[in-house]
Amino acid sequence: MKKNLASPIFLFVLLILWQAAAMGMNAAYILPSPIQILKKLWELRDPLFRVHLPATMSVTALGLLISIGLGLFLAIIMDMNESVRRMLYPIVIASQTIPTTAIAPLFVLWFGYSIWSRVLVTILMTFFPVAITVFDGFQSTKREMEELMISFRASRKDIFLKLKLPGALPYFFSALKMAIPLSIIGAAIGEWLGAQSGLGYFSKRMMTQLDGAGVFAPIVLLSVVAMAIVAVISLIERIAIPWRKEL
Amino acid sequence: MLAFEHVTYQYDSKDSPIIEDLSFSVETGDFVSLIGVSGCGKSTIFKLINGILPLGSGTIRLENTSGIPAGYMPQKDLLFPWRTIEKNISLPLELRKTPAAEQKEQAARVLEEIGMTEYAQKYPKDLSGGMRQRVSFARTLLTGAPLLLLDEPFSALDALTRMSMQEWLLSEWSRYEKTVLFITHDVEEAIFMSKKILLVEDKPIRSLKSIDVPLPYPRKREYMARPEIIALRDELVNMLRKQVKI
Repeated sequence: MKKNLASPIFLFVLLILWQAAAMGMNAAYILPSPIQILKKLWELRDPLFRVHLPATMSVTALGLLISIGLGLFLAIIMDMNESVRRMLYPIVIASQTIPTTAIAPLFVLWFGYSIWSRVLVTILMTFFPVAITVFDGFQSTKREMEELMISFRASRKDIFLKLKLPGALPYFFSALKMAIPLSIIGAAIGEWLGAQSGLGYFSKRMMTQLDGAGVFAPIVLLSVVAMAIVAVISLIERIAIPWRKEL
Repeated sequence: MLAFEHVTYQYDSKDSPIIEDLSFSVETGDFVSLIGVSGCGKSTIFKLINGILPLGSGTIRLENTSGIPAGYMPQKDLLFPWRTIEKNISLPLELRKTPAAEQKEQAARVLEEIGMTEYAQKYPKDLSGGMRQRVSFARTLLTGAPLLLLDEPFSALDALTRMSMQEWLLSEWSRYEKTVLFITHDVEEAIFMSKKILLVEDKPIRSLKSIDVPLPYPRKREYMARPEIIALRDELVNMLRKQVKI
Protein backbone atom coordinates (compact mmCIF):
# COMPACT_ATOMS: atom_id res chain seq x y z
CA MET A 1 0.00 0.00 0.00
CA LYS A 2 2.80 2.41 1.02
CA LYS A 3 4.73 1.56 -2.16
CA ASN A 4 1.66 2.26 -4.30
CA LEU A 5 1.09 5.62 -2.67
CA ALA A 6 4.70 6.86 -2.84
CA SER A 7 4.51 7.92 -6.49
CA PRO A 8 1.18 9.85 -6.37
CA ILE A 9 2.23 11.58 -3.13
CA PHE A 10 5.55 12.64 -4.65
CA LEU A 11 3.78 13.87 -7.80
CA PHE A 12 1.28 15.81 -5.70
CA VAL A 13 4.11 17.49 -3.73
CA LEU A 14 5.85 18.44 -6.99
CA LEU A 15 2.63 19.94 -8.35
CA ILE A 16 2.13 21.95 -5.15
CA LEU A 17 5.70 23.30 -5.41
CA TRP A 18 5.18 24.08 -9.08
CA GLN A 19 1.91 25.88 -8.33
CA ALA A 20 3.57 27.91 -5.56
CA ALA A 21 6.55 28.83 -7.77
CA ALA A 22 4.28 29.86 -10.67
CA MET A 23 2.09 31.96 -8.37
CA GLY A 24 5.20 33.58 -6.87
CA MET A 25 6.66 34.36 -10.30
CA ASN A 26 3.33 35.53 -11.68
CA ALA A 27 4.45 35.33 -15.33
CA ALA A 28 2.27 32.72 -17.06
CA TYR A 29 4.05 33.18 -20.41
CA ILE A 30 7.25 31.87 -18.76
CA LEU A 31 5.96 29.45 -16.13
CA PRO A 32 2.24 28.71 -16.15
CA SER A 33 0.82 27.01 -13.06
CA PRO A 34 -0.64 23.48 -13.21
CA ILE A 35 -4.12 24.91 -12.64
CA GLN A 36 -3.69 27.35 -15.56
CA ILE A 37 -2.56 24.45 -17.76
CA LEU A 38 -5.58 22.36 -16.80
CA LYS A 39 -7.89 25.30 -17.49
CA LYS A 40 -6.25 25.78 -20.88
CA LEU A 41 -6.59 22.06 -21.61
CA TRP A 42 -10.31 22.32 -20.90
CA GLU A 43 -10.72 25.52 -22.96
CA LEU A 44 -8.92 24.00 -25.94
CA ARG A 45 -10.43 20.53 -25.60
CA ASP A 46 -12.18 20.64 -28.93
CA PRO A 47 -9.19 21.33 -31.26
CA LEU A 48 -6.80 19.35 -29.04
CA PHE A 49 -8.87 16.17 -28.83
CA ARG A 50 -10.63 16.30 -32.20
CA VAL A 51 -7.89 17.55 -34.49
CA HIS A 52 -4.40 17.56 -33.05
CA LEU A 53 -4.37 14.45 -30.83
CA PRO A 54 -5.61 12.16 -33.66
CA ALA A 55 -3.02 13.71 -36.01
CA THR A 56 -0.17 13.02 -33.57
CA MET A 57 -1.46 9.55 -32.77
CA SER A 58 -1.58 8.69 -36.49
CA VAL A 59 2.10 9.63 -36.86
CA THR A 60 2.96 7.80 -33.64
CA ALA A 61 1.10 4.63 -34.59
CA LEU A 62 2.53 4.50 -38.10
CA GLY A 63 6.06 5.29 -36.90
CA LEU A 64 5.83 2.78 -34.07
CA LEU A 65 4.53 -0.03 -36.28
CA ILE A 66 7.24 0.51 -38.89
CA SER A 67 9.89 0.78 -36.13
CA ILE A 68 8.76 -2.47 -34.53
CA GLY A 69 8.85 -4.22 -37.91
CA LEU A 70 12.24 -2.77 -38.81
CA GLY A 71 13.67 -3.33 -35.31
CA LEU A 72 12.53 -6.97 -35.22
CA PHE A 73 13.85 -7.59 -38.72
CA LEU A 74 17.27 -6.15 -37.81
CA ALA A 75 17.37 -8.08 -34.51
CA ILE A 76 16.55 -11.36 -36.25
CA ILE A 77 19.05 -11.03 -39.09
CA MET A 78 21.79 -9.85 -36.70
CA ASP A 79 21.13 -12.86 -34.49
CA MET A 80 21.06 -15.31 -37.38
CA ASN A 81 24.26 -14.24 -39.05
CA GLU A 82 27.47 -13.08 -37.37
CA SER A 83 28.73 -11.28 -40.51
CA VAL A 84 25.46 -9.37 -40.84
CA ARG A 85 25.69 -8.43 -37.15
CA ARG A 86 29.23 -7.12 -37.61
CA MET A 87 28.11 -5.15 -40.65
CA LEU A 88 24.89 -3.67 -39.24
CA TYR A 89 25.53 -3.17 -35.53
CA PRO A 90 27.84 -0.14 -35.87
CA ILE A 91 25.44 1.47 -38.37
CA VAL A 92 22.50 0.96 -36.01
CA ILE A 93 24.51 2.55 -33.17
CA ALA A 94 25.68 5.39 -35.44
CA SER A 95 22.08 6.15 -36.38
CA GLN A 96 21.51 7.25 -32.79
CA THR A 97 24.27 9.83 -32.91
CA ILE A 98 22.35 11.79 -35.58
CA PRO A 99 20.84 14.90 -33.94
CA THR A 100 17.20 14.38 -34.89
CA THR A 101 16.18 18.02 -34.53
CA ALA A 102 18.97 19.05 -36.90
CA ILE A 103 18.15 16.51 -39.60
CA ALA A 104 14.34 16.66 -39.37
CA PRO A 105 14.02 19.84 -41.52
CA LEU A 106 15.70 17.85 -44.30
CA PHE A 107 12.89 15.31 -44.10
CA VAL A 108 10.42 18.15 -44.67
CA LEU A 109 12.41 19.07 -47.79
CA TRP A 110 12.29 15.45 -48.98
CA PHE A 111 8.67 14.65 -48.15
CA GLY A 112 7.08 18.11 -47.83
CA TYR A 113 4.40 18.58 -45.16
CA SER A 114 3.10 15.05 -45.69
CA ILE A 115 2.82 12.63 -42.77
CA TRP A 116 5.98 10.79 -43.92
CA SER A 117 8.45 13.49 -42.83
CA ARG A 118 7.15 13.15 -39.25
CA VAL A 119 6.92 9.37 -39.47
CA LEU A 120 10.57 9.28 -40.51
CA VAL A 121 11.62 11.31 -37.44
CA THR A 122 9.62 8.88 -35.29
CA ILE A 123 11.24 5.84 -36.91
CA LEU A 124 14.72 7.31 -36.51
CA MET A 125 14.14 7.66 -32.77
CA THR A 126 12.21 4.45 -32.18
CA PHE A 127 13.64 1.56 -34.19
CA PHE A 128 16.89 1.56 -32.22
CA PRO A 129 15.62 0.43 -28.79
CA VAL A 130 13.52 -2.25 -30.47
CA ALA A 131 16.41 -3.61 -32.58
CA ILE A 132 19.03 -3.55 -29.84
CA THR A 133 16.85 -4.76 -26.96
CA VAL A 134 15.30 -7.64 -28.91
CA PHE A 135 18.72 -8.58 -30.30
CA ASP A 136 20.04 -8.68 -26.71
CA GLY A 137 17.06 -10.89 -25.88
CA PHE A 138 18.01 -13.38 -28.58
CA GLN A 139 21.64 -13.30 -27.49
CA SER A 140 20.77 -13.88 -23.84
CA THR A 141 19.34 -17.33 -24.59
CA LYS A 142 20.91 -19.74 -22.13
CA ARG A 143 23.64 -21.76 -23.81
CA GLU A 144 22.58 -24.87 -21.84
CA MET A 145 19.04 -24.62 -23.20
CA GLU A 146 20.38 -24.33 -26.73
CA GLU A 147 22.60 -27.38 -26.10
CA LEU A 148 19.60 -29.31 -24.83
CA MET A 149 17.74 -28.48 -28.03
CA ILE A 150 20.77 -29.59 -30.09
CA SER A 151 20.83 -32.87 -28.16
CA PHE A 152 17.18 -33.34 -29.21
CA ARG A 153 18.33 -32.83 -32.83
CA ALA A 154 16.51 -29.51 -33.15
CA SER A 155 17.12 -27.52 -36.33
CA ARG A 156 18.22 -23.85 -36.25
CA LYS A 157 14.65 -22.91 -37.12
CA ASP A 158 13.32 -24.98 -34.21
CA ILE A 159 15.83 -23.39 -31.83
CA PHE A 160 14.77 -19.94 -32.98
CA LEU A 161 11.01 -20.52 -32.92
CA LYS A 162 10.74 -22.69 -29.82
CA LEU A 163 13.52 -21.23 -27.66
CA LYS A 164 14.89 -17.87 -28.73
CA LEU A 165 11.63 -16.23 -29.76
CA PRO A 166 9.63 -16.99 -26.59
CA GLY A 167 12.74 -16.33 -24.47
CA ALA A 168 13.08 -12.85 -26.01
CA LEU A 169 9.46 -11.87 -25.29
CA PRO A 170 10.28 -10.07 -22.00
CA TYR A 171 12.89 -8.05 -23.92
CA PHE A 172 10.33 -7.25 -26.61
CA PHE A 173 7.93 -5.84 -24.02
CA SER A 174 10.74 -3.77 -22.45
CA ALA A 175 11.59 -2.45 -25.92
CA LEU A 176 7.94 -1.61 -26.52
CA LYS A 177 7.71 0.32 -23.25
CA MET A 178 10.78 2.34 -24.26
CA ALA A 179 9.63 2.78 -27.85
CA ILE A 180 6.14 4.14 -27.08
CA PRO A 181 7.23 7.37 -25.30
CA LEU A 182 10.04 7.79 -27.85
CA SER A 183 7.64 7.46 -30.78
CA ILE A 184 5.38 10.11 -29.23
CA ILE A 185 8.36 12.41 -28.70
CA GLY A 186 9.49 11.71 -32.27
CA ALA A 187 6.07 12.58 -33.66
CA ALA A 188 5.93 15.80 -31.60
CA ILE A 189 9.43 16.85 -32.71
CA GLY A 190 8.49 16.15 -36.33
CA GLU A 191 5.41 18.34 -35.89
CA TRP A 192 7.42 21.11 -34.24
CA LEU A 193 9.75 21.20 -37.22
CA GLY A 194 7.22 21.01 -40.00
CA ALA A 195 3.53 20.19 -39.92
CA GLN A 196 0.08 21.69 -40.27
CA SER A 197 -1.56 19.75 -37.46
CA GLY A 198 -0.66 17.69 -34.39
CA LEU A 199 0.08 18.44 -30.74
CA GLY A 200 3.72 19.39 -31.49
CA TYR A 201 2.55 21.84 -34.13
CA PHE A 202 -0.11 23.22 -31.75
CA SER A 203 2.43 23.69 -28.96
CA LYS A 204 4.75 25.60 -31.33
CA ARG A 205 1.87 27.83 -32.45
CA MET A 206 1.07 28.67 -28.83
CA MET A 207 4.75 29.50 -28.32
CA THR A 208 4.58 32.18 -31.03
CA GLN A 209 1.62 33.66 -29.15
CA LEU A 210 3.60 33.62 -25.84
CA ASP A 211 0.83 31.47 -24.37
CA GLY A 212 2.72 29.46 -21.73
CA ALA A 213 -0.27 27.39 -20.65
CA GLY A 214 -1.09 26.74 -24.32
CA VAL A 215 2.45 25.40 -24.86
CA PHE A 216 2.18 23.09 -21.86
CA ALA A 217 -1.39 21.84 -22.45
CA PRO A 218 -0.56 19.59 -25.46
CA ILE A 219 2.63 18.40 -23.74
CA VAL A 220 0.65 17.32 -20.68
CA LEU A 221 -1.82 15.58 -22.95
CA LEU A 222 1.03 13.73 -24.71
CA SER A 223 2.51 12.62 -21.37
CA VAL A 224 -0.82 11.33 -20.12
CA VAL A 225 -1.43 9.40 -23.36
CA ALA A 226 2.11 7.91 -23.24
CA MET A 227 1.63 6.82 -19.62
CA ALA A 228 -1.75 5.30 -20.42
CA ILE A 229 -0.42 3.30 -23.38
CA VAL A 230 2.62 2.08 -21.39
CA ALA A 231 0.25 1.04 -18.56
CA VAL A 232 -1.86 -0.98 -21.02
CA ILE A 233 1.29 -2.63 -22.45
CA SER A 234 2.47 -3.48 -18.91
CA LEU A 235 -0.90 -5.08 -18.20
CA ILE A 236 -0.71 -7.13 -21.42
CA GLU A 237 2.86 -8.13 -20.48
CA ARG A 238 1.78 -9.37 -17.05
CA ILE A 239 -0.96 -11.48 -18.63
CA ALA A 240 1.08 -12.72 -21.61
CA ILE A 241 4.33 -13.63 -19.84
CA PRO A 242 3.67 -14.44 -16.18
CA TRP A 243 6.88 -16.50 -16.26
CA ARG A 244 9.10 -13.43 -16.87
CA LYS A 245 10.94 -13.72 -13.54
CA GLU A 246 11.70 -17.40 -14.18
CA LEU A 247 14.28 -16.68 -16.88
CA MET B 1 25.55 -49.97 -26.61
CA LEU B 2 28.20 -47.24 -26.44
CA ALA B 3 31.84 -47.45 -27.44
CA PHE B 4 34.48 -44.73 -27.43
CA GLU B 5 37.39 -45.65 -29.68
CA HIS B 6 40.58 -43.55 -29.50
CA VAL B 7 38.65 -40.32 -29.03
CA THR B 8 40.60 -37.07 -28.70
CA TYR B 9 39.02 -33.66 -28.13
CA GLN B 10 40.48 -30.22 -27.56
CA TYR B 11 38.57 -26.97 -26.94
CA ASP B 12 39.63 -24.18 -29.30
CA SER B 13 40.42 -21.92 -26.35
CA LYS B 14 42.79 -24.45 -24.72
CA ASP B 15 46.41 -25.34 -25.50
CA SER B 16 46.06 -29.06 -24.81
CA PRO B 17 43.31 -31.66 -25.31
CA ILE B 18 40.88 -32.40 -22.49
CA ILE B 19 40.36 -35.96 -23.79
CA GLU B 20 43.22 -37.86 -25.43
CA ASP B 21 43.00 -41.22 -27.15
CA LEU B 22 40.21 -42.35 -24.83
CA SER B 23 38.55 -45.75 -25.30
CA PHE B 24 35.84 -47.28 -23.15
CA SER B 25 32.49 -49.00 -23.58
CA VAL B 26 29.13 -49.35 -21.84
CA GLU B 27 27.04 -52.51 -22.16
CA THR B 28 23.32 -52.49 -22.98
CA GLY B 29 21.10 -52.24 -19.91
CA ASP B 30 23.87 -51.22 -17.51
CA PHE B 31 23.74 -48.39 -14.99
CA VAL B 32 27.22 -46.89 -15.15
CA SER B 33 28.47 -43.89 -13.16
CA LEU B 34 31.24 -41.64 -14.34
CA ILE B 35 33.07 -39.97 -11.48
CA GLY B 36 35.95 -37.54 -11.42
CA VAL B 37 37.02 -34.21 -9.99
CA SER B 38 35.47 -30.93 -11.17
CA GLY B 39 36.59 -29.73 -14.59
CA CYS B 40 38.19 -33.03 -15.58
CA GLY B 41 36.06 -33.35 -18.74
CA LYS B 42 33.20 -35.65 -17.73
CA SER B 43 30.57 -33.37 -19.25
CA THR B 44 32.67 -33.07 -22.40
CA ILE B 45 32.27 -36.84 -22.85
CA PHE B 46 28.48 -36.37 -22.73
CA LYS B 47 28.56 -33.44 -25.13
CA LEU B 48 30.55 -35.53 -27.60
CA ILE B 49 28.12 -38.43 -27.33
CA ASN B 50 25.01 -36.33 -27.96
CA GLY B 51 26.52 -34.25 -30.74
CA ILE B 52 26.68 -30.90 -28.93
CA LEU B 53 30.45 -30.84 -29.57
CA PRO B 54 31.96 -31.98 -32.89
CA LEU B 55 34.13 -35.05 -32.60
CA GLY B 56 37.83 -34.21 -33.00
CA SER B 57 39.32 -37.58 -33.80
CA GLY B 58 38.39 -41.17 -33.05
CA THR B 59 35.01 -42.89 -33.23
CA ILE B 60 31.94 -43.01 -31.00
CA ARG B 61 29.73 -46.00 -31.68
CA LEU B 62 26.12 -45.94 -30.51
CA GLU B 63 23.41 -48.56 -30.83
CA ASN B 64 21.52 -48.10 -34.09
CA THR B 65 18.13 -46.51 -33.65
CA SER B 66 15.82 -44.65 -35.98
CA GLY B 67 15.54 -41.73 -33.52
CA ILE B 68 17.90 -39.98 -31.13
CA PRO B 69 20.56 -42.45 -29.90
CA ALA B 70 21.16 -40.72 -26.54
CA GLY B 71 18.77 -38.74 -24.34
CA TYR B 72 20.45 -35.99 -22.34
CA MET B 73 19.39 -34.80 -18.89
CA PRO B 74 21.43 -31.79 -17.75
CA GLN B 75 22.39 -30.76 -14.23
CA LYS B 76 19.78 -27.97 -14.18
CA ASP B 77 16.30 -29.09 -15.18
CA LEU B 78 16.20 -26.50 -18.01
CA LEU B 79 12.43 -26.63 -18.24
CA PHE B 80 11.07 -23.88 -20.49
CA PRO B 81 9.11 -21.53 -18.21
CA TRP B 82 6.64 -20.59 -20.96
CA ARG B 83 5.60 -24.20 -21.56
CA THR B 84 3.25 -26.27 -19.44
CA ILE B 85 4.66 -29.46 -17.94
CA GLU B 86 2.92 -31.49 -20.64
CA LYS B 87 4.38 -29.28 -23.38
CA ASN B 88 7.83 -29.38 -21.75
CA ILE B 89 8.04 -33.14 -21.69
CA SER B 90 6.65 -33.53 -25.20
CA LEU B 91 9.32 -31.20 -26.66
CA PRO B 92 11.46 -34.06 -28.08
CA LEU B 93 8.34 -35.54 -29.73
CA GLU B 94 7.37 -32.16 -31.14
CA LEU B 95 10.85 -31.77 -32.65
CA ARG B 96 10.48 -35.19 -34.27
CA LYS B 97 7.19 -33.97 -35.82
CA THR B 98 5.17 -36.60 -33.93
CA PRO B 99 1.41 -36.00 -34.50
CA ALA B 100 -0.13 -33.81 -31.77
CA ALA B 101 -2.56 -36.49 -30.56
CA GLU B 102 0.28 -38.98 -30.14
CA GLN B 103 2.40 -36.40 -28.30
CA LYS B 104 -0.45 -35.82 -25.86
CA GLU B 105 -0.99 -39.53 -25.38
CA GLN B 106 2.70 -40.30 -24.74
CA ALA B 107 3.09 -37.31 -22.40
CA ALA B 108 0.02 -38.39 -20.43
CA ARG B 109 1.36 -41.95 -20.15
CA VAL B 110 4.79 -40.87 -18.87
CA LEU B 111 3.27 -38.31 -16.49
CA GLU B 112 1.08 -41.04 -15.06
CA GLU B 113 4.08 -43.33 -14.68
CA ILE B 114 6.05 -40.72 -12.76
CA GLY B 115 2.97 -39.87 -10.67
CA MET B 116 2.52 -36.33 -11.94
CA THR B 117 -0.67 -36.47 -14.01
CA GLU B 118 -2.30 -33.63 -12.09
CA TYR B 119 0.57 -31.30 -12.97
CA ALA B 120 0.19 -31.64 -16.77
CA GLN B 121 -1.23 -28.15 -17.23
CA LYS B 122 0.91 -26.47 -14.55
CA TYR B 123 4.04 -24.45 -15.27
CA PRO B 124 7.58 -25.19 -14.00
CA LYS B 125 7.30 -22.35 -11.46
CA ASP B 126 4.55 -24.33 -9.69
CA LEU B 127 6.85 -27.33 -9.02
CA SER B 128 9.41 -28.17 -6.32
CA GLY B 129 13.05 -28.95 -7.17
CA GLY B 130 12.49 -32.73 -6.99
CA MET B 131 9.37 -32.55 -9.14
CA ARG B 132 11.17 -30.46 -11.74
CA GLN B 133 13.91 -33.09 -11.96
CA ARG B 134 11.30 -35.81 -12.42
CA VAL B 135 9.76 -33.79 -15.25
CA SER B 136 13.20 -33.27 -16.76
CA PHE B 137 13.75 -37.05 -16.58
CA ALA B 138 10.36 -37.65 -18.22
CA ARG B 139 11.39 -35.33 -21.05
CA THR B 140 14.62 -37.32 -21.46
CA LEU B 141 12.59 -40.55 -21.58
CA LEU B 142 10.41 -39.16 -24.35
CA THR B 143 13.42 -38.77 -26.60
CA GLY B 144 12.90 -42.52 -27.03
CA ALA B 145 16.66 -43.00 -26.81
CA PRO B 146 17.94 -46.36 -25.51
CA LEU B 147 20.88 -44.61 -23.78
CA LEU B 148 20.26 -41.95 -21.13
CA LEU B 149 23.04 -39.48 -20.27
CA LEU B 150 22.33 -38.01 -16.85
CA ASP B 151 24.68 -35.17 -15.93
CA GLU B 152 24.64 -34.67 -12.12
CA PRO B 153 20.84 -34.50 -12.16
CA PHE B 154 20.44 -34.39 -8.37
CA SER B 155 23.34 -32.13 -7.41
CA ALA B 156 21.12 -29.11 -6.72
CA LEU B 157 18.71 -31.00 -4.44
CA ASP B 158 18.76 -31.20 -0.66
CA ALA B 159 20.08 -34.43 0.90
CA LEU B 160 16.72 -36.04 1.70
CA THR B 161 15.11 -35.22 -1.66
CA ARG B 162 18.27 -36.49 -3.29
CA MET B 163 18.02 -39.87 -1.56
CA SER B 164 14.37 -40.23 -2.61
CA MET B 165 15.26 -39.25 -6.16
CA GLN B 166 18.08 -41.82 -6.30
CA GLU B 167 15.69 -44.59 -5.29
CA TRP B 168 13.05 -43.28 -7.70
CA LEU B 169 15.56 -43.20 -10.57
CA LEU B 170 16.63 -46.79 -9.90
CA SER B 171 13.01 -47.94 -10.03
CA GLU B 172 12.48 -46.03 -13.30
CA TRP B 173 15.66 -47.56 -14.73
CA SER B 174 14.46 -51.07 -14.01
CA ARG B 175 10.99 -50.27 -15.37
CA TYR B 176 12.18 -48.79 -18.68
CA GLU B 177 15.20 -51.08 -19.14
CA LYS B 178 17.36 -48.26 -20.47
CA THR B 179 21.13 -48.00 -20.40
CA VAL B 180 22.20 -45.17 -18.10
CA LEU B 181 25.47 -43.26 -18.02
CA PHE B 182 25.37 -41.08 -14.92
CA ILE B 183 27.81 -38.30 -13.99
CA THR B 184 28.20 -37.53 -10.31
CA HIS B 185 30.70 -36.03 -7.86
CA ASP B 186 29.21 -38.02 -5.05
CA VAL B 187 31.01 -41.34 -4.49
CA GLU B 188 28.25 -42.70 -2.26
CA GLU B 189 25.63 -41.88 -4.89
CA ALA B 190 27.73 -43.62 -7.55
CA ILE B 191 28.07 -46.77 -5.43
CA PHE B 192 24.40 -46.85 -4.42
CA MET B 193 23.12 -46.55 -7.96
CA SER B 194 25.61 -48.15 -10.30
CA LYS B 195 26.45 -51.57 -11.54
CA LYS B 196 29.81 -50.24 -12.66
CA ILE B 197 31.81 -47.09 -11.88
CA LEU B 198 34.15 -45.45 -14.36
CA LEU B 199 36.69 -43.29 -12.59
CA VAL B 200 38.55 -40.48 -14.33
CA GLU B 201 42.14 -40.95 -13.22
CA ASP B 202 44.03 -38.26 -15.06
CA LYS B 203 43.75 -35.03 -17.00
CA PRO B 204 43.58 -35.05 -19.98
CA ILE B 205 41.36 -38.11 -19.79
CA ARG B 206 43.29 -40.99 -21.37
CA SER B 207 41.63 -43.87 -19.59
CA LEU B 208 38.82 -44.66 -17.17
CA LYS B 209 39.34 -47.07 -14.29
CA SER B 210 36.46 -49.52 -14.31
CA ILE B 211 35.17 -50.76 -10.93
CA ASP B 212 32.30 -53.23 -10.52
CA VAL B 213 30.00 -52.51 -7.59
CA PRO B 214 29.54 -55.76 -5.63
CA LEU B 215 25.86 -55.21 -4.81
CA PRO B 216 22.67 -56.82 -6.14
CA TYR B 217 19.57 -54.97 -7.42
CA PRO B 218 17.16 -53.80 -6.11
CA ARG B 219 19.43 -51.66 -3.98
CA LYS B 220 18.77 -51.03 -0.30
CA ARG B 221 20.22 -48.28 1.86
CA GLU B 222 21.52 -50.76 4.42
CA TYR B 223 23.86 -52.19 1.78
CA MET B 224 25.91 -49.03 2.13
CA ALA B 225 26.96 -50.11 5.66
CA ARG B 226 28.61 -53.33 4.45
CA PRO B 227 32.37 -53.43 5.19
CA GLU B 228 33.32 -54.07 1.54
CA ILE B 229 31.22 -51.10 0.41
CA ILE B 230 32.73 -48.81 3.04
CA ALA B 231 36.17 -49.96 1.90
CA LEU B 232 35.26 -49.29 -1.74
CA ARG B 233 33.93 -45.84 -0.87
CA ASP B 234 37.14 -44.96 1.03
CA GLU B 235 39.28 -46.24 -1.83
CA LEU B 236 37.39 -44.14 -4.39
CA VAL B 237 37.45 -41.04 -2.19
CA ASN B 238 41.21 -41.42 -1.71
CA MET B 239 41.77 -41.79 -5.44
CA LEU B 240 39.74 -38.66 -6.14
CA ARG B 241 41.34 -36.63 -3.36
CA LYS B 242 44.77 -37.22 -4.87
CA GLN B 243 43.59 -35.37 -7.97
CA VAL B 244 42.08 -32.38 -6.18
CA LYS B 245 44.13 -29.22 -6.47
CA ILE B 246 43.04 -26.35 -4.20
